[in-house]
Amino acid sequence: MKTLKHLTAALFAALTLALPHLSAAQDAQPLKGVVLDDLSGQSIPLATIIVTGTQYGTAADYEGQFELVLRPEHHMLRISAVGYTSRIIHITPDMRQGEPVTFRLEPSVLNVDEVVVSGDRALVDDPSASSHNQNATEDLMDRIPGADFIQRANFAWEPVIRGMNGGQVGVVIDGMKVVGACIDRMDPTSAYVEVENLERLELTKGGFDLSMGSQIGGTVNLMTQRPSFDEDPFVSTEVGFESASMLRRGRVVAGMAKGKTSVRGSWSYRVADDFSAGGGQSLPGSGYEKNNYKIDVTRILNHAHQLTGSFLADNAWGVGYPVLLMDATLAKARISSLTHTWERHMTDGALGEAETRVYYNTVNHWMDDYQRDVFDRPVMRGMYMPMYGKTETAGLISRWGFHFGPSRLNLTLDAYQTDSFGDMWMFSVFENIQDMYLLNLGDIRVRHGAVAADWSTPLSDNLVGRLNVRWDLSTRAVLNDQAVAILQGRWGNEDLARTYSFGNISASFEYALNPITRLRLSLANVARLPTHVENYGHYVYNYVDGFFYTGNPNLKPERSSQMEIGIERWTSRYGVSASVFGNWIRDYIVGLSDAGLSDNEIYRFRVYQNASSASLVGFEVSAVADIARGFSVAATSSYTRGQNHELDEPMFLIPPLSAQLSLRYDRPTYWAEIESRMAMPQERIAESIAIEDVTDGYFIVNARGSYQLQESTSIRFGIDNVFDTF
Amino acid sequence: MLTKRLSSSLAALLVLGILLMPTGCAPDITETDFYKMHPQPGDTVADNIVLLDHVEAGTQLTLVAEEPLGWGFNQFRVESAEGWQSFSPMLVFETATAVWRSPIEAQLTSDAGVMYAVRPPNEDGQWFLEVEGATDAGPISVRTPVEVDEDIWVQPDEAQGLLIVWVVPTTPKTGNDSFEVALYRYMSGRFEAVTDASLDLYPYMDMGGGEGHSTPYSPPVHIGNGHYRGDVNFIMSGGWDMTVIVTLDSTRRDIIFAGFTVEQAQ
Repeated sequence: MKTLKHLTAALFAALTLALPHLSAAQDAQPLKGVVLDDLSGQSIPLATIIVTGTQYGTAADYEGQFELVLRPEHHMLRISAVGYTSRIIHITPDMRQGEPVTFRLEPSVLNVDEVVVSGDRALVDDPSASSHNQNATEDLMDRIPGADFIQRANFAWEPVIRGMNGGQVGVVIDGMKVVGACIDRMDPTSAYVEVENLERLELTKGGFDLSMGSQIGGTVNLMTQRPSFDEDPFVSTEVGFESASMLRRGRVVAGMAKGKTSVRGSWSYRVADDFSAGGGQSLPGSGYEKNNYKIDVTRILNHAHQLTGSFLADNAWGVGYPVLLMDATLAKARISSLTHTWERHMTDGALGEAETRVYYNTVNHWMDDYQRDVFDRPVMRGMYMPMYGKTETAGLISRWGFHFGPSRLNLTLDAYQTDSFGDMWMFSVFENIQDMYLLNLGDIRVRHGAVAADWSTPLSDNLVGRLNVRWDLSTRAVLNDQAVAILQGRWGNEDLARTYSFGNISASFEYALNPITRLRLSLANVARLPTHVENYGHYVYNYVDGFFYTGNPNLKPERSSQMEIGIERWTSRYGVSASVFGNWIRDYIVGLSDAGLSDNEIYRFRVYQNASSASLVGFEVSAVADIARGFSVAATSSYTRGQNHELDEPMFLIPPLSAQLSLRYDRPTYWAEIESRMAMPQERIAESIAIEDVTDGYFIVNARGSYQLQESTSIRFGIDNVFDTF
Repeated sequence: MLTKRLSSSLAALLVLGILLMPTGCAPDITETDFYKMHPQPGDTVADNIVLLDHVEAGTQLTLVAEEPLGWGFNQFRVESAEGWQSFSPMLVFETATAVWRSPIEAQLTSDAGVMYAVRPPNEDGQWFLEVEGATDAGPISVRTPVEVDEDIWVQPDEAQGLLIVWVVPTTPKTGNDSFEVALYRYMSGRFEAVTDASLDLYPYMDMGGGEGHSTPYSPPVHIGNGHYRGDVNFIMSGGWDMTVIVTLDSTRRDIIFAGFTVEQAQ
């Protein structure tokens, strides 16, 4: 499968205008602080400090010290660092008087890749952080080693973590479940959160973090911005342009606070024409148009309680998918939530903080092929195929954090219900061919409940342990009588309703060899449920392999035993992080031949089944080093090898060995970067299961920079794929 | 400072205004837009066709259908059966030399039924609807000529003197359903059930342009009186062909019911 990742020959530029509500006030005072390891008391170098709800912040130095100018009001700061769990700290005006304030972060034990959105500045001391021109949320992940994308077009990329994708990877927004409505997975959840609304992106590889769901591949949690309680109203705008697809975009963010109420709103718009790949190649029909708006209102109920209402709307239309038979006419997501947060400010009591969110979201997705030559394609020639899908999800997620001395216990209750529907009409242009109708998903209802406990405690002076357990209960049923009749025919008139109940466990240990070097061992035995499409999908066309897939209500959960060994070392001059992992998958869910439905090579059918097993092994490494004043060099590399033991061939959609190397120069008012990206050819391909082709390697060079024109205005610019290679 | 901040604010608002102007809003989808390639459906309200309206000695039997009678199964409704205790309709085909009575009995419920029109190929004759039954006044027999059109539900194999009749489903719908056919030899004015054939199926949806696909099924097996029953699970609504592969006396015959409509199950 050809991807677009290396084809980004582009000139881009962005101009940001902002009313800086924090930085220039006459009565502003500096907050001096130091960030320490909660267990060892050692300073944490290069922590990131951001005022929540804004893009204003700074970074600690190698001794963990920082200084941040703030108005003499209440603020909420998010403090984060590689290898530590982020914290949000309430800053009061009196904290800016006197000695530096100490902030303590707990080691996260887990290897969580975190990207903090911080305006137009690259987080130069985090190898995985991106200084890429941030057109979309996906841009923030594309430097994290082990994270890749399925790129079907110039829009809506689906994350792949260590070679796993689809139902093996969970993508949530503030922990909320949002289920895509397109049965071909053209609407990944990551498309709904624009950069201006993203406060933080947490990416967990493997099944070691069970707080967000039961996944064996990993989790991406898109944490959105909340309103700030700075009293100054602010408006921030940005316009940008990219030549590769003639992309024009604009963003506006505004906010204000009055008394105990704060409001934040955002709006953005993007429009792109056909994508021009390197070497003069172009991809006709790959343009799109999109807008997104979000509004949040936070009310402080008292010193400990807050209530936040949020609404996000995302619309994309005219989205071209050159690799598919059709394009997205319109994709609409509406995501709403009400969140109650509570934080204990007293020192007594075990319960430290709690957050409960109720949410409701809908996704509608229309596709058609009205702009295509329906005679010129390998399958379904001579017919138009409008296609529709929708999902409706309501849920609750509640987290409770307890402190028992140096130990922490986090409890999570996660419950939701999702209804899904998908169908397709086929209108032939040939005479005497009747209209055809295919019900792909006949009102599938999934009800899911889970409880999770996450316990971390120091086991000795330099050893921290973490135990994560989760129990899931899921029921699912087909509510549409037509779908019931069809699926019962396939599965022998049996009751189609299913109940899954299973447990997961992971354990992690982090051993501090010395104050700057940590070893990490993570073990997990986890499972993931079949998706509703894998259970009950009906002749769902898979564009990757050209087969029509039928769901199987008798699927067992896909279970995985995983191990990861990692090392992190940070000095005043360099930092390095490396991991090796192994993953043994049992009851691997894969489509196998459903013979007898066709005697030609055009229409081919498969049914989801549990294959015997599969395995994945690989490594990731990232490093950063200061090489001179203002100069730093960063590099990442990752490799995954997957093997399907049922078919004795490689697993499909496994990325090849890849690497990135960048040289950065960072000054207070500007930065510049030269970055190279490369990938080896992928010759380990799944020929029988996915009809994959060998893909070529690539090497591209990008150049980027940013300059702050004045206090409230900055410009970013760059050239991707400088040598215009294909 | 105030002037500077005000100018920054105005500049930001100006950019906001410029952005808002050309973007408009996301388009709305209506069914008309989304299904614009769909041919406009015609008026499908069907008129009732009166098959029989017999009034005699205070009794009345009225049978109606929404479709003209055709070869094979015919669905009808009982509009009136006043004074009738029971009755049994049958379609009969008379030629100059023989009277061919349907080998498949009509299936009746209280207010509807299905009767079968079965005849050998290439013979001239007249169709009659015969009804025998019991009324409050005693046994009664009614016979009236009817028109029966050629249709796909009875397929002959003239070389072997065979007929295959589609029995059920009488309204093919998406989803799993029984599939039943009856196999006869026609000779000397009567149908003789064929009980020792081996049957297989090949359902096929022609999607145009030389493309198409099949659907899950189980081959019919003999259940008595020349009737063979299996299952077919039509996965899509639309136009289908059903090939019944009959192996009899080591000879294979492919008999095709071509071009019938499978409707969406409700």
